[in-house]
Amino acid sequence: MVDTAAQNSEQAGRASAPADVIAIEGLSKRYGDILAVDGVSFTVRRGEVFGILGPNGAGKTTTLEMIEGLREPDAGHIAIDGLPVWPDPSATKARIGVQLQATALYDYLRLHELIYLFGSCYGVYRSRTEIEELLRRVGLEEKGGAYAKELSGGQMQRLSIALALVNDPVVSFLDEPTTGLDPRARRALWEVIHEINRAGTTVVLTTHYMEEAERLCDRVAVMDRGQIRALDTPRALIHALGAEATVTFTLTQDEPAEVFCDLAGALSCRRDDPGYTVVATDAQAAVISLLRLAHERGLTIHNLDVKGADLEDVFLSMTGHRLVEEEEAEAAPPKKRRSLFGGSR
Amino acid sequence: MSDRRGPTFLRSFTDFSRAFTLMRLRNREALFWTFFFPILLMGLLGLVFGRGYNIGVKIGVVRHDAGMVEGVLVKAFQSIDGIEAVELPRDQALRELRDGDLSGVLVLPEGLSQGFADGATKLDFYYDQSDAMTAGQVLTIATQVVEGVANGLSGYHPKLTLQPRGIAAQGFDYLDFLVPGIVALSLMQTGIFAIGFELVFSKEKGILRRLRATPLPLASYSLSMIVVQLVVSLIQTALILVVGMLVFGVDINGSLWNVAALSIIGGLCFVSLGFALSSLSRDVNSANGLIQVVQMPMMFLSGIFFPMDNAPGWIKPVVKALPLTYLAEGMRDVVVDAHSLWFIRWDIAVLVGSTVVFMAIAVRFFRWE
Repeated sequence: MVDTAAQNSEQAGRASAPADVIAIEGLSKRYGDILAVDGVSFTVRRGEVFGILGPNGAGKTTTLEMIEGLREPDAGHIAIDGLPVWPDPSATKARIGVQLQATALYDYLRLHELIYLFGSCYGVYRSRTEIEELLRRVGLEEKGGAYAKELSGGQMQRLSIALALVNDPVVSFLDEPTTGLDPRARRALWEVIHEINRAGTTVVLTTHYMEEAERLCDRVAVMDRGQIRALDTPRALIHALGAEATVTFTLTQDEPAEVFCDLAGALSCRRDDPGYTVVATDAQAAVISLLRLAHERGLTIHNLDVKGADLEDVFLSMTGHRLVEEEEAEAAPPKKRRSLFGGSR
Repeated sequence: MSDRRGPTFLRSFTDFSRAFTLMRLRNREALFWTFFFPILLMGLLGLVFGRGYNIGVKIGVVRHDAGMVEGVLVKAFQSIDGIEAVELPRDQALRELRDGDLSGVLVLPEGLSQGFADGATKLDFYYDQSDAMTAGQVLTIATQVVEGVANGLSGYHPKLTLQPRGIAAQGFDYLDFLVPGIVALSLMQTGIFAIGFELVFSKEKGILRRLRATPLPLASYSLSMIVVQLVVSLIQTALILVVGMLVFGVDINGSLWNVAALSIIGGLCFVSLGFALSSLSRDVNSANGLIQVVQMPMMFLSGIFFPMDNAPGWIKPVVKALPLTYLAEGMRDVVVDAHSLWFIRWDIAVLVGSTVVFMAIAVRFFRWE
C-alpha cells in the first residue's frame, strides 16, 4: 500500500501515543436478516484524512456509529487511542469529535451558546475567545450571535464541524458532511476540512461522492454491502484498477452495452442513459477499436469523450454498480435545510 | 489540550438549566401558552359564568322522628322544580355532602314536631363549600322553603329558622372554584407540552443522538429539563393566583408554602407524563396526537371548569382515573379553603403514585432516536 499519510502522521507528532488512532478488527452488525456491516477491519493513522466511500446503504454510517459508541457491534473489536470502545464507550466518547448526518440544533440558542453548551457536555468549558477562534476556523466568525435556525445548509454543516472540534478530539468523525449541499458550499466545506486536518486533527469521513474522496482523503476504504472491497490511497486504487481512461459516447441506434465490452483493453462497459461508458486500460486502443466496430456494424457515434479514470470507475468495476445513481443532491436548494436521511444506516 | 475527565454532573446540570431557561424565554409562542393563555381562559370563563350559573341541586334531609312537621318539610322540598330531596341518615348525608354528591343537608332535630309549638327552633343547614357556585342558591331556596312551611303551620309568626353551616369560610363564587382549577390545568398542559414536545423534537431533529455521542450523563440533561419546568410551574401558579386575586377578587386563604409544594408535586406528575408520552411517540406528529388524546379528556373531565358532581354516572370512573382531578381538588382545598397538605394526603398520594407510574413508562420505552 502506498502511504501518503506518513507525513501527516509525523506532523501530528504525538510520539507517546500509538501510531494508529483507530484499530478495528472483524466488526459486524446485523439488522434482522440484513448484515449491515460484515466483518470489517481497518486502521486509521494519526493525522490522516480517512474516507469511507460507498453508496447509500453500504454500511458506512453503521460502521461510524459503532466506532462513535452510539451502536453496539454484534461482533468485533474497536480501539480508539488504545482504549476499547465497547462495552463502555464513555471514555472514548470524551476523546472523539462527532458530526452526525442530519443534525439540527436548538432553535433558540445562539451559535456561541451552542458551542459552549456542547463543550460543557465534554467537561470542556470554552471561553468566549476560544469560541470565537473555533468559529473562525470553520468560517463562521460573523455568525457567533446568530441562531442556528438562521444558518444556511452549508453554514449549518460548518457549525456541526465546529461542534465536532470543541473538545480537541484525537479524531473527528464527519458523516457525509457535504450531502445536500450545492457544489459551491461543498467546495468551501472541503477547504474547512482540509484546514482542520492541516492543524493536526485526524479526520474520518464518509461520503458517496468520489470527487470528495479523491480531493480530501489520504486513504479511502471502498465499502459496499457491508464489506470493505479495497483500501488504499485514491491514486493507488485507480492505478491498481489498471484503468487509464473512460470513454463515453452516444449512438443514434440502440445497441446492447455488452457489445462494447469486447473493445481493446476494456475493463468494464455499461449503458448510461442516454449513452455508453467504457473503462479501458488504453485510451487510444479502445477508441480505435470502437471506431472499427462502429464502421463494421454501421453505427453512428456522437459525443465521443475520453477522460482519465477516477474513483467512480474503481467503484463500478469493483461492485458492478454505481456510487450515486443520480446526482440528487446537486439539485438541492442551498438555503433550505432539507432532511438528509440518506437511507444508509 | 482539554482534560479527559468528562463533564461534572453539577456543571452540566447548571449549563443545561441555563440553556433551557434561555430557550424558554426566547420562544414567544411557548411563553404565550404558558403564561397568557391560562389568564385569558380564566378571564373569559369568569366573565361568562362568574355569577348566577345554575345547575340542578340535590339536598339531603336528616330526620329523627316521623312527625307532622318533618313530613311537611320533606314534601315542601320535593315539590320544588330543579331540587331533588332525599332522606338519609345524618352520617351518610354529611359524607355525601363532603364527597360533593349533595349540595346541602338539612338536619331536623329530635322532637321537632313536639317542640315546634313551644317556641323557635333553629334547623341546621349544611352546604357544600367546594361546590361554591350552588351554595348561595341552595341557601336561598332552603331558607324560603323553611320559612314558607313555618308560615303555613302557625300563621305569620315564623318560629322555624334556618341556621346556615358552611364547613369553611363563606363568600364562595364560581371564580373561587375556577381559579385553582386553572392553576392545575396550566401545570398539566405546560408540563406535558414543554417536556413531551421538547424531547420528541430533540429526538426527531437528532439533537438527542448528538448529545448521546458526548459523555454527558443523561441524568443531568433530564434533571435540568425537569427543574426548569418546575420553576416555570411555580411562576405560573403565582401569576395565575395573583391575577385571580387582583382582578377577580378570589380569596387566597391558604399557606403559600403549601400552594408551592402542591404546584411542584403536581408539576412533577405532569412532567413525568410528558416524559412518558414522548417516549411512546415516534415523531413530532404522533406526539402531538398522543398529547391531545391525553390532555383533552383531562381538561374537560377533571372538574376544572365545572364540578363533575352532576355528570352522568358512567363517566365518574373516568373522572376518578384522571390525575388532574386530584390536583384540581387538592389545589382548591389548599388555595381557597386553607387546608393543610395532610388534609389532601390522598390527592397527593394519587399524584405521587401517577408520577412513579409515568416515570416507569418513560424509562421503559425511552429511545434515543
